[in-house]
Amino acid sequence: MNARATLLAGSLALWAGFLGAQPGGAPPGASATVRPAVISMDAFYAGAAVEVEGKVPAGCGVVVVVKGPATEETFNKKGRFGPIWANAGKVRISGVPSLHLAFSSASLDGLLSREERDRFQIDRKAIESQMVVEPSSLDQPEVRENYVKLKAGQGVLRLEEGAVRAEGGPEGGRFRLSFRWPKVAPPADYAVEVYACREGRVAARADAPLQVVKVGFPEKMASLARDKAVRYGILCVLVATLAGLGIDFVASKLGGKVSAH
Amino acid sequence: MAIFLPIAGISINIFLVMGAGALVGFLSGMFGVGGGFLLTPVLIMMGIPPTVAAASDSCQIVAASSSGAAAHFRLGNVDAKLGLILLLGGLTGGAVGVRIIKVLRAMGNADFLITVTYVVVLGSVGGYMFFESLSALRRRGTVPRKSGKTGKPGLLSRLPFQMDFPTAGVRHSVFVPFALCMLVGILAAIMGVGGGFIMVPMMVYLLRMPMHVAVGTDLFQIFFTCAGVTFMQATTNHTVDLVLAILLMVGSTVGAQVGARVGKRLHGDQLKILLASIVLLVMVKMAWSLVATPATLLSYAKTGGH
Repeated sequence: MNARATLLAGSLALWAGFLGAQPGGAPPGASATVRPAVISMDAFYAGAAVEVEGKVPAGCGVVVVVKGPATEETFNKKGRFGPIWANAGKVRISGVPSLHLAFSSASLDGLLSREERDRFQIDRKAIESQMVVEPSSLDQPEVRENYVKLKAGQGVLRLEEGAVRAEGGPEGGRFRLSFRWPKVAPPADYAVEVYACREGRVAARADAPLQVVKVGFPEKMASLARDKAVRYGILCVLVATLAGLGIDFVASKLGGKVSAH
Repeated sequence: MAIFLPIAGISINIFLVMGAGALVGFLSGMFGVGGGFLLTPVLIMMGIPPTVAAASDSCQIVAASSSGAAAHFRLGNVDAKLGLILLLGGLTGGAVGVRIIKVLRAMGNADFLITVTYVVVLGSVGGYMFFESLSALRRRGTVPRKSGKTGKPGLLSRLPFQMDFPTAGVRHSVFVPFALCMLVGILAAIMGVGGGFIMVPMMVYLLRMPMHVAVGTDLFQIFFTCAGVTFMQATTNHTVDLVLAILLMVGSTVGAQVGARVGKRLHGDQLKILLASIVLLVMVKMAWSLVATPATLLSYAKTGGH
């Protein structure tokens, strides 16, 4: 009986340790709440307003990073052959989040040291240095820079300094961030990471999940395409053919007959 | 007004998509080209994943080509018998082309060869078509112009399985359109496009078909090709976004109707000059992309086209 109690207590202690552990090894002491916690993509979804708020230890600056799941994509890489630019091969880039939005209460340079930004993959430079480029023969700095440039252009990689409103108080500081969720971001499980920064280091950290899911008609269509592909394929061809013939029928009725040459 | 695309997984402005569809449908109805070489890159620029853009584009071309082919059918511009032979030739050539491109890719730097092929083929086809139509337009009114049946080299007329194609007003051995279309199919597969803008000039200049019949017949064969591609993309890759395709269809089918009617009002040579100008513009763009420093060294790996 005693052995069983010891085992139970040990297990509970292990689980508590596991659940309480902070990713990246940062100390606790911050809290974060994301509203809404789930963004529903219905038929007329056009992005969403997201609010993140919480507490950080007194005197800390705040950085909020929203990260998508790790992604892997293949690109054509252009190279110069004499006066001509042509595809010089394909590069596979992995080890980067599909979305990376960073917001801070002040200039990022003043809040966190380079090491801390790299450690928690907080800014573009960190992403650039940590991405995996294959094959290694094409792993050049310009490939990394161009990837970041491409993603920034798509709106899935951005930094807004000064977007987080931080207020000091006797029991610590409160912060608040409002931003528009990018409508190009696909459904996935995203992570909202809040960093309390002091003297160039992460003094505390809190994480909160943000789920983006398809609901209603989009979800039904996606599951039909995924689970009943043959039926969906026939439906696509039928709908397209009937739409074309239908428009032609309507146009011929509205426009009257046109004689051939 | 935004709508969420279930397979692409992104939200997009309805009118933007319909506008892009209308523009491409207009070209499709007017010239008998699928327009995939134009629409797929535009969709990618809008943020739609390349695989979904290419597959959904196929689906909307099914609608645009059925609408355009039906309009041309009523106008007496579709030679179904010739269209079926072209389709068989194109499919065979496409299969051969896919094998060739696989070998080229294994050898390395195939993409460069593809771009050069683009520039050479588009430059030759567009340039010939442009200057031939220009001189024909200048001759108009002074010299009566023959259309349809023209003299063929003796060898071609002696080939077996000679067949009349009454709608097109030509007589050929079955092997001639089949072989020519096979060649276009090979080029189309290498270039990653459907080949409408090579097919139509080929029908006009080599098979001696009237321009309007060439356009109608090409739309007829494009319908079957893209229906097959759509079904295969939906069942194999799950990348056809029906909502995106429907939005494009609304624009493209209306555009195709307008294009067919505008095309009918123009003289065959005027139509040829316009198509030649578009082909030459695409060629210039491709040639420029070979020498101009790109804005970014990376582009999404191409997955298909029409």
